[in-house]
Amino acid sequence: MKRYIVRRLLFGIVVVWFVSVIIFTVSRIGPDPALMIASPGADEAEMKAIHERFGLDKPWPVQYYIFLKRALQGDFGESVYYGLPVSEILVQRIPNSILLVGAAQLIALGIGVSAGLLGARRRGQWLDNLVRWFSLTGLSMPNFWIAMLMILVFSVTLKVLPTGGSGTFWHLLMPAFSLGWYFSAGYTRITYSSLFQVLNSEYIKLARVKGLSEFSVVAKHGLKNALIPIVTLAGMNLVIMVSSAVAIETVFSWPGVGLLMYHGAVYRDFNIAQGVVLLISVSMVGVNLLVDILYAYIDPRIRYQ
Amino acid sequence: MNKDEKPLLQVVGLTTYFFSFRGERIVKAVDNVSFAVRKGERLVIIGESGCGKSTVALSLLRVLPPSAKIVAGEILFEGEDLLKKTPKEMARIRGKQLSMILQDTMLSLDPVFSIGNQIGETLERHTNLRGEALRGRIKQLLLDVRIPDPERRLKQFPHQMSGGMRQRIVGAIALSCEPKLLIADEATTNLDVTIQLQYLNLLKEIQKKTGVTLLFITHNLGIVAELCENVIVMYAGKIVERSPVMEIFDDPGHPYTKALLQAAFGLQDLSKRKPIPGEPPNLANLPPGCSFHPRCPYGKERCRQEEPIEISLNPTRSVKCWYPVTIGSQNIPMPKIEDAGNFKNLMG
Amino acid sequence: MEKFVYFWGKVADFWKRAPKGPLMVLILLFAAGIFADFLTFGHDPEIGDPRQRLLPPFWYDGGMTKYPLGTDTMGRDILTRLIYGSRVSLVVAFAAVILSSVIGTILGILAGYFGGWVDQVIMRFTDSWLSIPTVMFGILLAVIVGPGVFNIVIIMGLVFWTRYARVTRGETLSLKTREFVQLAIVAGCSKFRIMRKHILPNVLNNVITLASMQIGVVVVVEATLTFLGVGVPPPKPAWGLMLSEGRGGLLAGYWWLIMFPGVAIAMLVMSFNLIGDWLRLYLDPHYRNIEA
Repeated sequence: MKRYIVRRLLFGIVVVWFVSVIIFTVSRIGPDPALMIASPGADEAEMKAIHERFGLDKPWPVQYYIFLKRALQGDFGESVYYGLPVSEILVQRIPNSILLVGAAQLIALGIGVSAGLLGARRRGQWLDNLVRWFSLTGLSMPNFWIAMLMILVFSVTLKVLPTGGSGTFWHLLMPAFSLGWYFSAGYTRITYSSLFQVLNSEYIKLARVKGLSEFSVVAKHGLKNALIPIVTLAGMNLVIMVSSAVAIETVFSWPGVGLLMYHGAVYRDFNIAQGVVLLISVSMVGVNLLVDILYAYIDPRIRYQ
Repeated sequence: MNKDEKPLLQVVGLTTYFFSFRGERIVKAVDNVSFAVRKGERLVIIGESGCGKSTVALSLLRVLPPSAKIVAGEILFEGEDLLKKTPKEMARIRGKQLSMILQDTMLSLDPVFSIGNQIGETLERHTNLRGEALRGRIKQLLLDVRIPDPERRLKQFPHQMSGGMRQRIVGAIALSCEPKLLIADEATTNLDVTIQLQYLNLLKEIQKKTGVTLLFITHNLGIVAELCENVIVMYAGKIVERSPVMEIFDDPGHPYTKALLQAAFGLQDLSKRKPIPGEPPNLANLPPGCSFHPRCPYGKERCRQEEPIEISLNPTRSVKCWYPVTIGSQNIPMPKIEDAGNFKNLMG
Repeated sequence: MEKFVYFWGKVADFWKRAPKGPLMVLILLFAAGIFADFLTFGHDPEIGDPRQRLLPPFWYDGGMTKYPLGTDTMGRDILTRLIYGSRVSLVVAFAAVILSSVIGTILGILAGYFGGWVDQVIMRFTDSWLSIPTVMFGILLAVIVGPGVFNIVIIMGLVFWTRYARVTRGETLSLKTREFVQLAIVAGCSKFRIMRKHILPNVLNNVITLASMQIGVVVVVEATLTFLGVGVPPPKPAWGLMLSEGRGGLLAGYWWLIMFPGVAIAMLVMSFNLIGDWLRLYLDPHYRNIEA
C-alpha cells in the first residue's frame, strides 16, 4: 500500500510541476503584460519601471524560478485590480465556490444515482425512460442557458427566486441546479452500469447461494462494489464543476473563483487569473490522488499492484 | 443406503427456459428433466457445455438470472416442493440444507471482503455462533479443507490466494452449515490436474465424515470414474442416459455417451480418440425428432421424425434413444413408458 | 470494382441502421449552414434595422411574419442569425475536433509505441494538461491570443487533445502485442512505417468514436467562451453571442432572444450525442454481427 501511495505522490508532483510550467508559459506568451498595466501613451522610462517592478525584464527561466519559488510559499503575486495579494482574495472566494459546487454535487448525485438505481431495477418502464431523457437533455444544454431560462421562469415570470447574488438558500438554488444537471447524466450512466455489472456477477450469485437475505446481498455485497466507480467520478467532478461554474457565476453574479478568474483574465489581471488556474489544477491533481488512495482502500486488489 | 427410503431430492419434469429481452428468442435450457438423488449418494450429471446441466443446478437452488424462468416441474427436497417456497423461505434453505460450489472461484468470492468475513457471514446467517465460537468454527472449517495456518487466512483477500485454495474455501463455505445436499458445479474445471485429484479425495473424505449427499456437475469424465456411483448424461437440455458408473464406461447405451467416451479415451485405446463431429445444438432452435440425430452415426429415419422416449435397459439403466448401442440391446423391443412418475423408481 | 461495391454497401448499411431523428436534425442544420444565403430572404445577419428592434415572434401581437422569430436589440432578424450561426458552430466544432484528434492521436501513438520514459513523460504531460480546467484554460488562451474564429479553433484544439492521447495510447499498447505488429517488427519495418500502416488504422475506430462524443462538448464550450466574450467576436452571427446579447433583455422579459439560440445549440448537441452513442455501438465489433 505504501509503495502505491508513494508512486502516486511522485507522479502527482511531476504533474503539478508540468502544470506550473504550462501556466507560466501561457501567461507569458502574447502581448507584453506591461502594456496593460501602464497608462496609455507611457514613455520608455515608465515601461522600464514597470518591467523592473514586476520582474518582467529578467530572462524567462529566471522569471519562472521566481514565480515557482513564490508560489510554493503561497505567494501568487498581487492583484493589479484589487491591490491585494492574490492569496488573500482566493481565500475569500473559495468558500463560495465550494458551497456552490457542493450543492450542485448533491443535486447531480441525487438525480443521477436514483436514475441509475431505477434503471437497474425497472428497466424500460416509463419512469426510467423519463429520468434517462432528463439526464440526456442535461448533457446537451449549455449550463448558462439553463440558468437564464430558470431566471426567466422563476425570477421574471413567477417572481419566486432572486435573479442573482448570494447569501441565502434561495440564492443557491438556481445556480446549483443549473450547474448540477449536466453531471447527473454521468452519474446515471455509471450507477446503472456499475450496479448492472455487480448484480449479475458471480459473487452476488454466491451470496444468494449462501442463503443470505436479499437485503444483505444488495446492500452489503452489491453496494460496496458498485460504489467504487461512483466515488471515483464524484471526486473528479468536484474540480471539474468549479471550472464549469464560470459561466454560471457570471450569469448569477455568484462571487466564486470562476467569476474571479474570468474578470482577472479579461481585465488582464494575470496574477489573479494565473492564481486561480493554478489552484484548481493543483486541486485536481490532489483530488485524483485522494481518489486513487480511497480506491485502494475500498478495493484491496489495487493495494498490492 | 436403504433403497426403500424416500429420496432426498426428487426432480420431476423440471423445465427452464431463457427468454431474450423482448421475448423473441426462447432458449430451452432444461426440458422435462426428472431424476432422484438418494441420501448419501454420489450422483454426477455429465454433458458438454451448454447442455443445461448448470441450469439444472441453478434451478434447484432457484438462483437463476432474471432472464430465466422455471416454467414447469416440481423440485421435491425431503418431500417439500421448493418451487412453492417464498423467496424468504428459499433463502433460509440455501446454504443450510442445500448448498452449492460455484465454478469460477476468482469471480465468485467477493473481492472486497476478507475470507473470514465471507465464511463467517454464512455461519452468522444460519447458526447462532458468534464471536469466539464463530471464529473457532471458521478456523476449524479451514483446517477441514486442509488450508494450513487458518488464523492468518482469515484476514486475507481472495486475490491473495491460489486457485486451488480458493476452491477449497468455496468448498468450506458450502459445507459450513452442514447441508444435506451439496451441489458442485464444475468445481474442478479451473484447477490443474494434480489439484483436481486432491480436491476430489477431499470431497470423498468429507462425505465419509459428514454423510452429505453429493450432486456433481461436470463435463470431465475422469472425475466421474473417480468419484461417483451413478451417472446422468444430458444433451440439449434433456436427460439421455442414466446408469451406474462402471456399467456406463464398459458399455455405453446412448450414442452420445459412446461418442463422449470415444472422444476422451478412445474407448479402450487412447490412440483411437475421435472428436464428436458436428456442432453443439442451438437450444433456441432445436432440430425435430431426436436432438442428437444430426451428429449421430447410427441415426435412422425414425430419429429424424420422432423424439425418442426413455426406455429401461435393466433395473438400474435407461436410455432415451430409439436404437441404443449397448452390447445387449440390439433386439430389445420398445416398451412404452407413459408418464414421468415412473422415473421415481428408476434410481431407487 | 469490388472495393467500390463494398464501400457503397457499407454506406447503405450505415444509412439503414443509423437513428433517423438525430440524423435528420443534423442534416437540417448542415443544410442551413451551407445554404444560408438562400434561406434568409435578404436579411443581413450582421446589420439590422434599428427601427425594428426587439420585435417578438410573429405569432405575438406586434410581431411580423417578415421577422418570424423576432428581432434582437439591434433590429437583426433572429431566424437569419440562427441560420448563419449554424455555420459558425459547425465549422468551429469540426475543425476543432479534427485538430485535437490529430494532435492527440499522434502523441498517443508515440507514447504507446515507444513506451518507457517517452511514454511516462507524455503521459504526465497529458495528465497535467488535463488537470487544467477546460473553460478557464480556454479563457486564458483566448485572452492572450485574441479573438477570432481561427483563434478559437486553435484554442479548442489545444484544450481537447488530451482525451485522444489517452485513448490511442491504450489502444497502441494493446496493439503492440498483436501478431501482425510483431511480424512487421521482425520483418524490419521502420518504426514510423509500422505506426502509420499498422497502428494508425486500427486506432481510428476508437478515435472516431471519441470524436463523435466530443463534438457536443466542443460546441458547448465554444458557446460558453463566445458567451463570455472570449470566443467568436461580434458582429458575427454566433449562437453564443446571441445568448450574451440576449442576456440583457432577460429581466425585461424578452425571452425569444435567448430561447431560440439555446434550443438550436441543444438540438445540435443532442443530435451529436445520440449519433455518437449509436456510432459507438455500431463500430463495436461485437455489435456488427447482430442483425439490425
